[in-house]
Amino acid sequence: MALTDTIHTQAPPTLKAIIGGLIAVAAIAVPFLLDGFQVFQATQVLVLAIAIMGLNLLTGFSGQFSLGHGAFFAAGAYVTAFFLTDGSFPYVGAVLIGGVVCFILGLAFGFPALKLDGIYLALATFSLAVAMPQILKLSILTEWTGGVGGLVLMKPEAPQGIPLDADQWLYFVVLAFAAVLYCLVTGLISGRTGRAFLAVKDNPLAAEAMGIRVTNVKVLAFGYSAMITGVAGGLSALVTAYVAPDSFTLFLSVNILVGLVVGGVGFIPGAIIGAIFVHFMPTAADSVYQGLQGVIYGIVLIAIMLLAPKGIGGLFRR
Amino acid sequence: MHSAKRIESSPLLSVKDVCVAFGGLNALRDISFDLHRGEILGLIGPNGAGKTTLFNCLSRLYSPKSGEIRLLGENLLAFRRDQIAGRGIGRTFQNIACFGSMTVRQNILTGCHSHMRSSSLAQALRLPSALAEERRFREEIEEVIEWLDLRKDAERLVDDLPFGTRKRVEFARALAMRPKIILLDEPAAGLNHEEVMALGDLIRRTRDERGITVLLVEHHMSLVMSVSDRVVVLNFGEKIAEGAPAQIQKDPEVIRAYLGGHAA
Repeated sequence: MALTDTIHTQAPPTLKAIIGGLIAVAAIAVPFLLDGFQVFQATQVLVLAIAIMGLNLLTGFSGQFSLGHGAFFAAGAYVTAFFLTDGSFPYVGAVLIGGVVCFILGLAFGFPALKLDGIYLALATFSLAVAMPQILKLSILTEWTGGVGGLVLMKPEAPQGIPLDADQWLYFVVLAFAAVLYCLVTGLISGRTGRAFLAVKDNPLAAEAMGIRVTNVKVLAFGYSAMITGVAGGLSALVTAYVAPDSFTLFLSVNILVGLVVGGVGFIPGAIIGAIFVHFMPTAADSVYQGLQGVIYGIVLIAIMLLAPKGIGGLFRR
Repeated sequence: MHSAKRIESSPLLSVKDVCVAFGGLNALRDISFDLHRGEILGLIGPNGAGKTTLFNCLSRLYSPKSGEIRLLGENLLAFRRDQIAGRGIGRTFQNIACFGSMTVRQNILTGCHSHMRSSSLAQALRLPSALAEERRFREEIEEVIEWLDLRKDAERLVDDLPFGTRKRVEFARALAMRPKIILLDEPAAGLNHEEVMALGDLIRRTRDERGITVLLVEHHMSLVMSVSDRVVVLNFGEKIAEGAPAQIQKDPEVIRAYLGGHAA
């Protein structure tokens, strides 16, 4: 159960406001302090954090596992890219459409998922992740997906009059999405629906006795979760200006899950910590000892699990 | 006695000829009884008598093979499990079923679920209507928190609390459901003598101060006999007696059921 334990925000309001303010200032300062490539990396970290936040809503709150969130990420990326290949469609709109499509896909997957519990659901979602790159390569879908070659899209530029380069501008676009989604998710989980998610995770039978329709709640959680991860996928398409089947392998799904666990399951701000870990740890491990980076990565991961069983985010709570 | 007669004519809950079978085994046979407004009804019987089965019919975990259950004339069997709360039936569980990863206050607020209306979208967008509703129910449950003396633990996680407190949290959660009837499934299980005394007091106060009708399924004989207005006795899936506690204690069939089939 340690994996799905939910960490609660206990910090007093003023402290929270100060921390929130500092984080906001730091987040806005980032693109002016770093060079072009670093800004690009920071943007990718934010995208990953959004994807992890999506999975957190599903696993940390409604208690359903997914090893296949990379598939929703891919779907969001492809839908976004599809609308942007000719460069006339507004890119924010394309990302939002990607999110809506993933919401529907999430609901559609959530229904059969009702029949599966815990490890079996993990396996079913796993197969989704395995299948995704192959589905994207299918020849009958080539007209929309671009087949093995994928799709190239126009990288959005800052509007006229704003003195930011494309990387800086995209950073702010992604940051705005992250901030808005963070507000929406925290709003959702602090109210009636969030309690219903947790109730379903903790004790479905008691949840029903409280008047919670467990099946609907579980499917809804899948829908919202897939939507958020799909938006992250759409943003990733903007950032890299390119989508291809092999960017969305099983490894992506695993990375999202690792980021969730490292950041803290059930702790929404942990997503950013998890994303930083997943993004930078492989390179960091590589720089420590080339050739054994996988071993070092594994050891660090195990060490985190031992020292911070509720994730690094859990350390900031009691 | 005029008023008593009037109450008799319209039971709050009526169980009629309920039969439940598991495979070839008849778990309940033709069970009928009425629960009247403002009453504390004890449901007792030896292990395997069918108490829990009946309880599960009331909360729609099982569907009877035949018979009917009506709440204020409404057919309860036509509702899904999650609709029972909205009909005015609150319950507690035999082995505490609190939501462990939530705080005490969140647990109790979850009891309000079926009375809250705001959609997930309204909450995500923090619409004023959703925030106002949340605030209204948070205020409402403060009274329940106070009533059950949970104030100092309100912000603690339920998993961190001792057994007795968790039981109170579960009770509070059931009260937050604004029930007409509260179903208590062996609430005395695992409690020591003093705690059982306090529980009896709590059950009586629930009826007297809050006007909630109580159906108490319990093993603990002295608790049932001291708080119940009437007692229904089940044995091997059949109702063998019904009446006032004093009457039940003298009933030869009941004594036989409890002392074993060959006595008397």
